Amino acid sequence: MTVVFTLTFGLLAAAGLLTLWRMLRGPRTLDRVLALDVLLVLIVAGVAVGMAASMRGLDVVLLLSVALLSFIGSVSAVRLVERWEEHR
Amino acid sequence: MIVRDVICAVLLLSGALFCLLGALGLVRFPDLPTRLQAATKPQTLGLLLVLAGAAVRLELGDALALGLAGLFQVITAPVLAQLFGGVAYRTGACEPSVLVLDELDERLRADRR
Amino acid sequence: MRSRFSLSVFAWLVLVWLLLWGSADPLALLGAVIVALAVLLLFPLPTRRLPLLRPLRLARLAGYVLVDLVTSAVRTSREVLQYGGKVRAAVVAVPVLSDVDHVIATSANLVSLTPDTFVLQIDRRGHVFYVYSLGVRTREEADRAHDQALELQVRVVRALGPAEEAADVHERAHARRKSGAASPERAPGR
Repeated sequence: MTVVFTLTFGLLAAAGLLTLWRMLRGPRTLDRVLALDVLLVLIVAGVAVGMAASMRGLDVVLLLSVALLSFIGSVSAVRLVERWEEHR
Repeated sequence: MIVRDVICAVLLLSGALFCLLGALGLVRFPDLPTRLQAATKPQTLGLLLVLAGAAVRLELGDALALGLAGLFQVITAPVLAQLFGGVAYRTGACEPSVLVLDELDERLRADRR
Repeated sequence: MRSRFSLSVFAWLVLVWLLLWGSADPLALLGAVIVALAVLLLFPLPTRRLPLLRPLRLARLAGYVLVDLVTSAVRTSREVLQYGGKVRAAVVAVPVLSDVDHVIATSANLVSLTPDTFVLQIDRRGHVFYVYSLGVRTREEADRAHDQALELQVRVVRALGPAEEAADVHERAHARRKSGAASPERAPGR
């Protein structure tokens, strides 16, 4: 199983790097916000894999709070961007 | 035990693969709405698969909490997609060459006339 | 509409709280009841009459959505690998088949969740969804996306909508279908 976990972490890390590239590249603020949201989803997935690897449920609270906060954060960020664009 | 490990491995790897494909779409697609599709569809399925794969190996209480995380994702992904999509369209983040047909634009033009 | 205490929402909130804690000991249960009551009293929802529960149709809707989620994820991935930067899409107008807020909201969310699409805008008065659909290159594919969104709506209305809407939704959707129809223009009578 160790191989499986390592492989899964590797795939998720590759996905994270691609997402980071989009976040740095932009070009729009919305692209960055979207990339950040995807990154947080990947983090949730990573925490879940970590839980499976250790077979312990210690990180459940962490996982759920990241999942919820990422949603709230993205919604607020999009609203903010919308307001900017309107005032331009 | 073996069966459980195989199920877990298949779910985790396929889930991570979908996550990777979604991220690749995020990089390769030309404009915000198309990237949004890549970010929501494969990403959501990928996360659900990974969560299911992890849940297989955990106690019931923790597995249910993972189910809750999956449910949050399923509820929030479409809300985010609509929010992002609407703002992207209104602020002109759509690459015109991507759209082969735009009935909303046709309608808006017709209304203005 | 007046807001009223809803027992099912209360039960749901208690359940979520217990799942968050991952246990059902007395302390967590007490906390759950307090939090659920606080949420319901502080943020009252407009009450809505839930239709008769139709477990079979709900289960079938859930299955359909799950299958759709997998196929649409696979199709989006194929667009990524095959076309990448040269991907194409379309914004398609799809008639809304219901007049009930929560049915429309559920339809919009499921359309956004599943078939390569998301709802760009809802014209509530004109009864039109504007659906952004990925991977559309031709008129036929746009019509197919249109019909797919209709099909999903039929299932949502049949699972969650009021009885009088559920009764004839299939026929109404059939009349609006495009992929088999001869005329590519809007459905007659609009």
